[in-house]
Amino acid sequence: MMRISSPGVSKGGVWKGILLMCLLLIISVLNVNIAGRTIGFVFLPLIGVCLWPRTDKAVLSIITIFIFGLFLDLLSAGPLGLWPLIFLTVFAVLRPHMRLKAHSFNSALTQWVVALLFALIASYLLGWFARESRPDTTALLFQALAAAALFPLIYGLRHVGRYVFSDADARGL
Amino acid sequence: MFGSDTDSTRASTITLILAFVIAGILYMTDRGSERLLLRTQTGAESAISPGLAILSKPLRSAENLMAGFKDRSRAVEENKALKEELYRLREEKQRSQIMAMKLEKFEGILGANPGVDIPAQKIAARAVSEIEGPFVRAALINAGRNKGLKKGHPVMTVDGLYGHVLRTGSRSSRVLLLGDLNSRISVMSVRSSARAILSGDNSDQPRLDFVDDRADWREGDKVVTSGDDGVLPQGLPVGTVKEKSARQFVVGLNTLDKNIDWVWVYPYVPTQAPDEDETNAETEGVDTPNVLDPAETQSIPIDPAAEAP
Repeated sequence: MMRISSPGVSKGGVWKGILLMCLLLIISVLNVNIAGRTIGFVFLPLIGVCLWPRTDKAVLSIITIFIFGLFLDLLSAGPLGLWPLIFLTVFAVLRPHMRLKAHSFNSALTQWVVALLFALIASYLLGWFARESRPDTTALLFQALAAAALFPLIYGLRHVGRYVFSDADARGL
Repeated sequence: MFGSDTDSTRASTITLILAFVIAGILYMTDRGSERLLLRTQTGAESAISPGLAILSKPLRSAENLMAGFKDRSRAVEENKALKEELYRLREEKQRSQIMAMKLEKFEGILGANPGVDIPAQKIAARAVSEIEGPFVRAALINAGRNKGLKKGHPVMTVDGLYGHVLRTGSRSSRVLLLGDLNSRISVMSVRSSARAILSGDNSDQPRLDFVDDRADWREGDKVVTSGDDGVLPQGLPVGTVKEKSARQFVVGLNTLDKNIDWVWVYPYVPTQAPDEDETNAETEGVDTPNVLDPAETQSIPIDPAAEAP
């Protein structure tokens, strides 16, 4: 029989992830005008993937992340399949214990910056290939910076969420 | 490979590989002009647009508040400039009234009434989301087929043309902005009536293409839509010309650097090609008395003397 859960795993982790991703997805579609430049937060849902909670349903997590990626493509009017590829790669590379651990802020930030850099390069190259024209680098960088600026807030929210929803064992304390 | 003991089951690995393959297929099939899942996209936009309208309200309010502070800080200066402009415009208004009177008389004499292209009706909508991303420059507005919007309708702000409706959903529409890579509209100079095509290139300043060597374009020219494409009405303000290099012009858009909150859409009916026009008239059961029967046309006697110069 296939094992899709493991001992000590907090139940309902996927649903917390989905909740976080829904919130981030909504914010990612909004935009703000700062100093005459419209800045979107399209990279923001990537934080959700980086901080994806310990799952009791790995298969469901993968499917969910794939659907969220697809939804982000539709809403951001980018090439279809771009964000699922980025999300899945980040999900696959970040090993479960990395997502599970009660991160210190610095380690979470490092992990996030690496994922962000990867997403930047991937979206630039894949977008260029799909649209057959070079993407606007400035817009791409501004979006990445906007998402990076919001990372502490999301991290804080998630940290609070862990204390509210999980017991000490599940928090890895 | 894809994880530690907690999720490296065969099922999760297979799912992950499958998801990669599907994403890859979607990515490869999406290359080209026609987007896959277009209906899904329109549906998704329609579904989230009411929520976005609510969520974007505080953001827009904050932006307007900041803009208000800026305006107040230079109120005295602006007031002086506005007064000067007002005096100048009063004079111009008088002149334009006299010109309008003359024009009306001439039109009466010639029996010509070209009219104004711009429709009087306006459909108000709220720009709930704007994408100025690396691949696309578009906006989502919270009005769709429910308000009578159709593909191609021009979308305006108080400052000028914002874009045109790319596709409509039941309650929302996607607007292609002038700076988008796929945006092409025919424009003209107000000063010289020189024509060109305004081509978006995903930058803040779209360029003027197909500029004739003899065309009289200059830095500072006001640009409006020419209506030559038969898609947009004539006279919608677009921006101001900037000369980038010798005979290379870009346009500083009127809507650039502005907080876009409310927009309006002109339900402009584009000029249709004669064939389409006839087909539509037939399908709608409208009489077409002005359409000449080919047989009738042939039977019209032509006086050779009348044709002679």
